[in-house]
Amino acid sequence: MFDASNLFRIEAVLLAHPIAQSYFQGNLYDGSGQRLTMLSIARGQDTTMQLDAVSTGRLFMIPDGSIVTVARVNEHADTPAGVDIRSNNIFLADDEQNSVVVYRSADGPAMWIDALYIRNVMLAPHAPRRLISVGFGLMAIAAYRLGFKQISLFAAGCGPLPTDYADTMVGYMVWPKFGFDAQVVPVELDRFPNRALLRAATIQDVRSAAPGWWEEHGSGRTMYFDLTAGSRSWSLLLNYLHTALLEDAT
Amino acid sequence: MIAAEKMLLDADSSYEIAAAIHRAKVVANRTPPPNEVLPVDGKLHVSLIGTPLPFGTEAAVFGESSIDIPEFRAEYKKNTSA
Repeated sequence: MFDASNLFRIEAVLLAHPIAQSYFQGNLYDGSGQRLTMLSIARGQDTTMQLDAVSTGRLFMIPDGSIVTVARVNEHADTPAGVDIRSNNIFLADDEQNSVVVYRSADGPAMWIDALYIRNVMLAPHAPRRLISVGFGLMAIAAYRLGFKQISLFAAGCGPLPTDYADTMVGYMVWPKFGFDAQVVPVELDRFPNRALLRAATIQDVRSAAPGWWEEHGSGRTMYFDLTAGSRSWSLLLNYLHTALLEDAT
Repeated sequence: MIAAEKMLLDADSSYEIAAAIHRAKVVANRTPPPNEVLPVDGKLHVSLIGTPLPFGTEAAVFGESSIDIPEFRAEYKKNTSA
């Protein structure tokens, strides 16, 4: 129901966008330069996620023409904490590769969820406008349909931002606009008291109760996009995408 | 073919060529790291068999994200200078 009434429509808009038409059609290559046709991810004993090249590109924000490689990320000795999906293409800054980690996150004592961690997205200045806006929209939709529960990343930077510094890190301010959220603690809110923030427990609470406060006084941390149907993350992302894509169409 | 279609076609073609040249350079210079999973007939197979990570430990285990999206910074500058 959530998919049909919300995701289906925005997906159609995203797929009609020139960025998706040109760069998210599933033309991917492996580390030896041969066509990549499938990525399969075994999730425990019984289930395996079979991703064709189109799904792989969209789930991991990998533009067409990219080289895709996969590496295990080890936490303790030989136990892999996750699987790192790396990609390399001409839109990246020199010597960089993009990276999204697939992992399982504990959700209670005997429960776990499948999740994604955006580890590297280092674009060059010539990367096309909206590559990440369209790419992340497609990523979130693909992740939801494949049963992932959250997307996380470490958003850097802190306010207030300078106006004339070329390398300003704006992640702490930008990613909440896409629906990412995280807890805030009273001590950081108390540094710049505002009565409207008395009940604020998350970044989105802050942005909603006192517009502008987070941009001015917020700071970097690990943030989460909640892929649950109807979540606040989805509401914010859908609103952001509708606004951004409508702006492009006018 | 109208001019706009031709321009789009040209842009896509030049992207494909540039991407192919870039791939050839990367393939020629890369050495797979020891933890890399190698493809078999164009297919990659991996397993999520590790212990689930405790919530909130992502950055500690995987490292803090490195994210630089010039478009976002440009948008911020546009908004602040408006």
